[in-house]
Amino acid sequence: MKSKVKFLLILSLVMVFVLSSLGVLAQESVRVGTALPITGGLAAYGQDARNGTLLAQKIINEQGGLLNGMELELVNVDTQTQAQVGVDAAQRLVNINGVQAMVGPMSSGVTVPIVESVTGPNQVVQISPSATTPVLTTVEDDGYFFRTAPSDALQGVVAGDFAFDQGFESIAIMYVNNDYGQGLNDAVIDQFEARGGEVTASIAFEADQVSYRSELMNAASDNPDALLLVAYTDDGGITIIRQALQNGFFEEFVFTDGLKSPTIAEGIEDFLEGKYGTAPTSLPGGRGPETFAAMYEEEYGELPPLPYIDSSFDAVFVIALGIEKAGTVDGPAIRDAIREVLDPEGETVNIDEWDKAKELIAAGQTINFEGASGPVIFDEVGDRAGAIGIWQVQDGNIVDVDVVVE
Amino acid sequence: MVLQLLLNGLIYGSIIALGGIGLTLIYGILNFGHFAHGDLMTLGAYLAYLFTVQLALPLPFSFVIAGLLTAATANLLDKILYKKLEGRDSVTIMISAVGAALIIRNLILMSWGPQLKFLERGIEMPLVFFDGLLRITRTQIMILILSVIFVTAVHLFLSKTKLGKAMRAMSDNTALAKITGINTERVIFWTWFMSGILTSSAGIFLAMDTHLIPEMGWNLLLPMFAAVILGGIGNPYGAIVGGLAIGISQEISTMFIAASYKPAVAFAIMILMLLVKPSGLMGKKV
Amino acid sequence: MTISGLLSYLIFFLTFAGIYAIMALGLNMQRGFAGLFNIGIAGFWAVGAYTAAILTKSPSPNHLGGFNTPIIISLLAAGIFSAILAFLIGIPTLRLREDYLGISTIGIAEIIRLIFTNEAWLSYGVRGISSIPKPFRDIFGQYYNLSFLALVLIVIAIFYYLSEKGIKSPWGRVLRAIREDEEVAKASGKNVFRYRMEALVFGAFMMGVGGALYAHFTGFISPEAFMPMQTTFIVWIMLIIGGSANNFGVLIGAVITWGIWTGTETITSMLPAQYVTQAAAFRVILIGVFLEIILLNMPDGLFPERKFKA
Repeated sequence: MKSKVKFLLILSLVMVFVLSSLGVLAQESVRVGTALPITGGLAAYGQDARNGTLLAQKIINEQGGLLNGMELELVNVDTQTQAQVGVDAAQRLVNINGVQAMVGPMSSGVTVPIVESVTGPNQVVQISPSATTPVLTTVEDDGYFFRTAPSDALQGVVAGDFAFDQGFESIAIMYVNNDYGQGLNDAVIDQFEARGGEVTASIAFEADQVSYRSELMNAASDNPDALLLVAYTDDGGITIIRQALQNGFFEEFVFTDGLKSPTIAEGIEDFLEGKYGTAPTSLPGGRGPETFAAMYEEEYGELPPLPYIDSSFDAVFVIALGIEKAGTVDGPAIRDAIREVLDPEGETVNIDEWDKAKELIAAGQTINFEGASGPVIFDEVGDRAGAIGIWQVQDGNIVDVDVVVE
Repeated sequence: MVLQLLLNGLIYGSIIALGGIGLTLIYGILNFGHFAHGDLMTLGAYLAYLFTVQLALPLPFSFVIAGLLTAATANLLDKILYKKLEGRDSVTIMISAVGAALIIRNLILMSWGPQLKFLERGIEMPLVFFDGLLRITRTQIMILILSVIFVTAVHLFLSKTKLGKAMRAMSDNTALAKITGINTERVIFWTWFMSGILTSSAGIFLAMDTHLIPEMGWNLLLPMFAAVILGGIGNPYGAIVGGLAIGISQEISTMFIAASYKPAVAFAIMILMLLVKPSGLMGKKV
Repeated sequence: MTISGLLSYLIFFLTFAGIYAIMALGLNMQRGFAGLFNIGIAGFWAVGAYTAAILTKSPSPNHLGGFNTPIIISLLAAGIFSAILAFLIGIPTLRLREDYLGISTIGIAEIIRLIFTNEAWLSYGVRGISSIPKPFRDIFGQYYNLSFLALVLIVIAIFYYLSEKGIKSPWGRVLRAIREDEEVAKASGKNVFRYRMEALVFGAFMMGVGGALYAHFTGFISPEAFMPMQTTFIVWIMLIIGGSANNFGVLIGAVITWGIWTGTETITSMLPAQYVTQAAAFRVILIGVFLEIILLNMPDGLFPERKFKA
């Protein structure tokens, strides 16, 4: 019995320690949450996107912080690219860390439930740097949701056009079974068929399967000219590409933003040489992209050819602008302030000019923020005006070759 | 299409069968379902990855070393866990096996990360037969040949050697085997050893045919159990037949039901078997 | 962090621990008192959660639902559906040796996850069901989490009372007799199959209700929440640490286990990003090692089974 008492005692001590260690971390700072995938299907993007957010934090804090000199503190939770984990993590951010604004998550499949179940009902401002599904345009968010990546309604049109212009008369689509995949799939079908092409098969697949041969067999059954693949690299995309080649199902591909990473071509450079893909990219205008690349290189080394690092930076910056304008850390106030302060007609602020932004806000002026991913302009539902880039596999690397503006 | 599915099923079935032999022998001899068996399979595959890809050693060499190390791990588990729990009810032992499974899988996750890994960097183009109706890679042919060799070796071992006969006798009736003076410690050791080698080989085959992920073996655990029950617990020949039957029916099933329900097929077969003849196709009384 | 922050954290923590405690009470009925091997807890959990979500939500074009039922009905229905599932699994397996039940439950948990993943008309597939109603949210406003904790505690109290009452009754005595020696019980004319089935079904009912509470509390469920091992395994650890066949011990076990689980998460989340994967895996390893140590050294857990007067 004695040992049992001792055991319980030690355990409660451990718990007390854990609880109190939470308290020690608290200090006078403005706390903003980031919910990015550090593990799971989008881990490759999430880790670099996190660097983007940290860079914004650094700029802001170096130039005097916000709300009269308070530091900006970013609390990150890992969504594991899974909806359930993401919702739980966002719940913790809101309920325990008490954040009133957050950046993330990356995938649409995680973003939609967080908007509907956590940030919407709790009146917390949320900016996703990369959730692109058209569903988010119409989601009931009470105006609390914004995104710094353009909707896939646009990418789908560009990808559909591009596939047709490549000379493919018929394509099969395989898409990851979530909001991102579904949304892009629908948009591509509409556009490709409107141009007169034929979509012979449109097949949803589940992440992390051992083999995709059965799905590929179905996709290839009507002998389409190419496979348009909507997937993430780490949860099936790479396997599908390899098995498609290996089993002779497909030789021609069109990729989308989730596959814009050199890892897709590793070991199979010869087979993928010259293949194209699409991905959202910066709107032309401003010196944001160059400044950002330089700043990133100084801090972390060369800017990887991955999408959404820049838009993650912008998401943090925009939230900071909103908080500064609102003068308080309060969800509804930040929401309204973001809409008030951003204005394409306003005074231009570059990404390394946080102190200028503060002065403008103090003077009651509006701001045209020329972000790392180009000018940040939201429409009335919080969607970002943007552009779609075309990229190509060249010698195993990813190279941007063209930009299509809306 | 049927031809291709049959072939895929045969390869998949061989992998299940190889894992199933060890699982069924452990089941018969030690009287508990070894829930860490799938993760031992994963361990074998990742060890092969370590040696061939990361340390650039020849594949046959890595194959053997990975097998030996997996066998050693299996014996280690027995020594520090299962043997110490002997005499407690079988549910306790099985829960400790589930715990061991989680520990192994997460050690793998910690060491190699969650991303997909491939044993070969490039891809290999298949040989095409019957005007594209059947495609098979050299790797797949090798997997099939090696599986046949392994199964034959297991058969010879179980039927010709003294140790093998003792294994079967113990699996058949542990109490009786003890009375007849079989050195049970020794039999148990070699059972774990053999199971380790076989399951590691199965894992490496799976990795060669597809890719490595930390859940690969765990995903195969249920099909393996289904194969064991189908063939009759404790009967290695039953496990081989069961494994092939499960593998082939899973692949063929994709002609009739959505491919995403493939994992459910093994389970459905298992439940049917339990309802009709719980002792399995070739099993002893339960 | 302020005092109120700490308090809201504590409420949050206890609510989750409480939901898990309900699962553990259910498992204790099955494993502790009847000796049944259920490692498909995630499946019963999922059935309960989805039942509640589908019943209480307002109509959605994306999936089945729109019944707007009150929470009390949804909790009951969740329990009943989960119990029916247990009944169906019990038919082929309860007459056989105990491991068949184990293999079948984990199989069924996997299949349930596949169904909720693939049948989009029912559950909206991997996208999951969001905006699940939060009961009484309008009434309690900012004290909502506290009121939900109260609801969880009430459910625990009811199940605790029923379990204790059942186990002290003649029914419970027979159940334990079967667990100790099936043959003797059979010889004295007891219908072993029936008693086991009743324990399995009652335990599953509790798990279903626990699942429903989970759905209402998080407001979102997707098939990913019900990966077979993680959830199932944690509940088993709660049972083993607390002490099998001791309802009070199981409750304590739930709080301790959940404390360790979330506590280690807090610590690992402070690590730099590149270690997050490793840290998450390390956490599971720690829990696994902890379990093995308890299994090897404290076979009866913290609170061994009480001896009842025969």
